[in-house]
Amino acid sequence: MRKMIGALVILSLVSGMTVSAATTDVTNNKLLVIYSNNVNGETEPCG
Amino acid sequence: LGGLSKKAYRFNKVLQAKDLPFLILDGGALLFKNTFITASQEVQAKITADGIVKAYNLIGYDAVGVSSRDLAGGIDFLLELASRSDFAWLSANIIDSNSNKPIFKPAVSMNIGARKAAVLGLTDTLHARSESLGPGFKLKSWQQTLPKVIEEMRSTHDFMILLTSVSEKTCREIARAHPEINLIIQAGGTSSNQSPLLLTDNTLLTRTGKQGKYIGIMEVDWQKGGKWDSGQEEKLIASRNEIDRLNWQITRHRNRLESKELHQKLENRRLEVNTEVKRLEQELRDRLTADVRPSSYKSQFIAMDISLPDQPTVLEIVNETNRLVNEAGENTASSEAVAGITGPIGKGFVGWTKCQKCHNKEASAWLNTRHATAFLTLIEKNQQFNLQCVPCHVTGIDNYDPAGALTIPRELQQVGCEACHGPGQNHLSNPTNSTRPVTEQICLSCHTEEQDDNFDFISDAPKSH
Repeated sequence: MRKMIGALVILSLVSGMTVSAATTDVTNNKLLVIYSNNVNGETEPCG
Repeated sequence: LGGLSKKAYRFNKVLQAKDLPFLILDGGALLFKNTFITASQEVQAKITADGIVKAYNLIGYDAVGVSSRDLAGGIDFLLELASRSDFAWLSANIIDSNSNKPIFKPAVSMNIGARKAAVLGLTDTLHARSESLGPGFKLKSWQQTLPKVIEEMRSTHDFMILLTSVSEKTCREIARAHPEINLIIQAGGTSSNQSPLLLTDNTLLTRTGKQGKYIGIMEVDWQKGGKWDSGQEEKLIASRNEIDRLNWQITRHRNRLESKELHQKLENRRLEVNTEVKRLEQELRDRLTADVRPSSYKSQFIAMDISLPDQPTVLEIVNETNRLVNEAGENTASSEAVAGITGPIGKGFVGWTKCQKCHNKEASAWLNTRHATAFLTLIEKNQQFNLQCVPCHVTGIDNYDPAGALTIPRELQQVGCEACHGPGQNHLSNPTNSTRPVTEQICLSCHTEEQDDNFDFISDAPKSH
């Protein structure tokens, strides 16, 4: 990844393009929320 | 408690499958079954609560909400547990009367990937009241406490989650007043899973149901400053379909004189749906030109099925907790026996062998049912002194106040005739005194959704003898 960005930066210097590396990570906005509630009511079946 | 090792197993699987930054949260109501515990239940209930905290530490929970049910063992007990918790106990509204500051953390800040989330806690005021917290503590309303916490967090966080046990109605009020809250995870006296419900454009509400037997997984694609996608596309498709149906019905009824009234109704409805379609189309057009696209989510509930594998280290904690609970009960039983406590004897219960003398046919049939060996199953599991189990495996013990359950005499050590028909002493002394009618409510006190979600009174009750 670092090599890729490096290559792009060089390319941009050569061609005068603008490069943004900040948006390459598509998972940037994603998050996982794992949750529970009311665990108090739970019991293993007694028998 | 039994499901915790299965939860841990599923959590690991989900995290392995989805390589995303994550939070593990609990809305609250994790320690005790009710908002109070009786003297007879106290020792065992506290051992169980301690086991739950140990398991949560291992699972890696980040934060939990303090519900009124978590306060049943007293606020000092919860504070002591909190000191041994690797996760945050959150409540913005349990206040120290002297310092006027919150007893628990009102909120925590968590880095998840490149984002920063604030997780807040709010305790319900329905069951927990200031007086039940004991001297030195106050329970304040959300209006008195939440706005300040939100104000402190809003500018420095991308995403805000509230863990709370307040009612859905109150959640709606909070969502209307505080669009900064993006997600509410609700705990409390609920009985079913609540698929994420959009309270406002900004706030989703979700909760798992069935007494902790599910875990909720929500994959969020969060756009900073964006609102939740409220499913306009789907609504638009549904509305257009409805117009198609209405057009067909209107054509059908147009020329029928007797359908004039119905025809008018259909016309009115078509007008309403048309307006809705125009509104949705406009919303979607606006979205295309907006700077920020809406945030979206995928949600699922996973049932903790008995066939799921157990996570070994959490299972060890569960087993050790059960062992300690039974041991504590056994010690209490010995001291109660010395003190001459004899269970429900003297409260009109006589035992099934007395009933058998006149009702031999029924008693013989009953002997072949699982009711007749209900207590034996507890002995096999070494849980015969667990007050959480015993009341439903014997005769004549109240589920809510199981005093005397540990010294239950042999003739009541199963779910006998009197568990359903009531104490038999009056009927025994004079057979014209009838026993109580067997109602569905009596069966459901043990055949709860949690323990037996297939129970059907009409077909199952006659099978008891």
